[in-house]
Amino acid sequence: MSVEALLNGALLGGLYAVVALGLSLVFGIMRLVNLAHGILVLAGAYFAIVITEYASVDPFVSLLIIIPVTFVVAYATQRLLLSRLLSRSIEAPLVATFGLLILGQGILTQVFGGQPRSITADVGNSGFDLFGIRVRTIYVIAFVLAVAITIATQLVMTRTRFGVALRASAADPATASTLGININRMHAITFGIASCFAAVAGLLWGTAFSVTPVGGLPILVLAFTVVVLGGVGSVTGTLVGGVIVGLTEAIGGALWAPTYAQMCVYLLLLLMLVVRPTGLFSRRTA
Amino acid sequence: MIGSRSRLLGGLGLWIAIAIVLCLLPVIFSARSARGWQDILLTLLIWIGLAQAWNIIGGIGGQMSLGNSVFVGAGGYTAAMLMINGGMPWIAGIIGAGIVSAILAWIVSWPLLRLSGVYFTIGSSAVALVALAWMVTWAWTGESRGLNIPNGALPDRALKFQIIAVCAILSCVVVFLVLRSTWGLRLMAVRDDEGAAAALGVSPRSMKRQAWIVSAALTGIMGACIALNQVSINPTNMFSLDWTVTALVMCIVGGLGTTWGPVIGSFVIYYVVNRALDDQPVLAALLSGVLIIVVISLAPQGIEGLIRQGWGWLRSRGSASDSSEAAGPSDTPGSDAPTAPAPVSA
Repeated sequence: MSVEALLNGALLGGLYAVVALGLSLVFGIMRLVNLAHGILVLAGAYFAIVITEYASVDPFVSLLIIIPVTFVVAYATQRLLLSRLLSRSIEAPLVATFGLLILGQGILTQVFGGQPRSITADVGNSGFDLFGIRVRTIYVIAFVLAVAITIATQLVMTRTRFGVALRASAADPATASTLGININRMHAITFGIASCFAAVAGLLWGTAFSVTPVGGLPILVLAFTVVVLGGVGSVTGTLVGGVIVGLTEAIGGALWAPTYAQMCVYLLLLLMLVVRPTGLFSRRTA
Repeated sequence: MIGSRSRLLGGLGLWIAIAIVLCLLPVIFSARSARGWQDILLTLLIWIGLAQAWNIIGGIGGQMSLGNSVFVGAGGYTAAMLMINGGMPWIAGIIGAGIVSAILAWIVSWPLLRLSGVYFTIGSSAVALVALAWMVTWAWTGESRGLNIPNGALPDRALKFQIIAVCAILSCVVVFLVLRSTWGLRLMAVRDDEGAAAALGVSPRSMKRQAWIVSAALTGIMGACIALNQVSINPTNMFSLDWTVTALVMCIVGGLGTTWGPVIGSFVIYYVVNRALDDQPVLAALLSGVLIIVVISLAPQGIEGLIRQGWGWLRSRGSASDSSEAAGPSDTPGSDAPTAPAPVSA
């Protein structure tokens, strides 16, 4: 096993952290596992493909359009569909997000077809030497972005009034709403921001790899693994979890066979769920 | 709640009658021109069997499994391997498929059923993804090329139809019996309130494990039917998560945890949606996504629940001549409506 593979795996873990961050936020604040999260990532990738092909701009410039559109759509989805279901039962919103998964997969297949696509960008194929070790540029970009987003989210959650309100609405929705916090609005904003994170992750994913419309569920399971490793709702834990998943893939792929790299991640998830479902770093015991 | 003996026998008789009629169909209509609709009916029966098997763990047991595709594949591969390598007849293939699936379910239940709720859902999908990744590279079962069942071992056309009909009705009968048994009541108690059920001496984990194994065995049997029907099988098809996803959609659209819900759901999703949009499979998938969102938002009890409510409304209008808007859904057994207004007892 080479140092190169390990370093690239750890950097790729940054990308995985971005993929998982939105899932973790929605899970932590709304107590909802968004089964459509993987499809949101794919939708972001396809959105970027469309913009870069028609406007021939740099993929990262396309975020200027992708982020506002994603936020509005996700905000509306939460307000019009999920908020009514969240108050009813635990299962109903879960099933609804499952419906969104099937719907999204159908739309993407209808529009783009089943063949793999990727975002054409110079950074997708290039690499450079970091401390004398060859690394993929897109992995480094993803890692730096992951660290930036993690720090920003952590600061917002702990240092702003909005973050305090958000955490209050997660910890005790009933009390928070008596103190004048609009829970539905908080949830809608959370869902909007989480979906924007997913879209950014999609942009990175589509640049680093190729995407197909049926990849939503595997991405969801990968993101869920990261969330479970880092602890539900923990922002910094998500980054650590992402790196662990990236390293697991690298080690598993090197020791066993590259085709089993993903399988190692699924086995890691099952192991974690059985041994320590509350995450590696949780202080509370399950 | 469990119902009288005569109603139980009547219900069983109805299912047996349906099975006999289905078995006679390919014998009576043996003309070549009748093959088209029989093929459609055959696929519908496969879906009914799969949806009912999922219904036991997902509907009656309340565990939203995304792992049932493991048993479709395990069943199909077991049947094919027994027939190819063992030279056994199809009946041994089907029974073996049920047994192997049940054993496999018992093994994976050890990690999986420590989980509940969404953890179980995603954990079971991880198991399904592991199985798919493993089978694509496993040399013993032909890797990604898959297996071909030799023609000599296959049942003829009419017999194949009869086998699949009997297996599908078997799933329906198991659901029918479970819903009318004390075992089923215990399982539903665990679904509705795990803590309360445990306090009354029902072990949630052991109930869920039993339901999971029964569901897996039936799914495995249907998997063997699918293998018999397809003749040539490969991992990406047999272990595809689409089997589970479609069965789940059928159950939710038709009505979770009921006897007729999955049958109605299979008919609506397979026949109405998929057949009507035959040249547009993608549009059909898209439509079932819309359908599941609409059903869960507006009619969480599914089409079966709507029919029940409509029937109760009609009956209450027929019997009570002048009174009033208190025509809520009748208190039918098996329906637990958290949102529906409770009928006021006079």
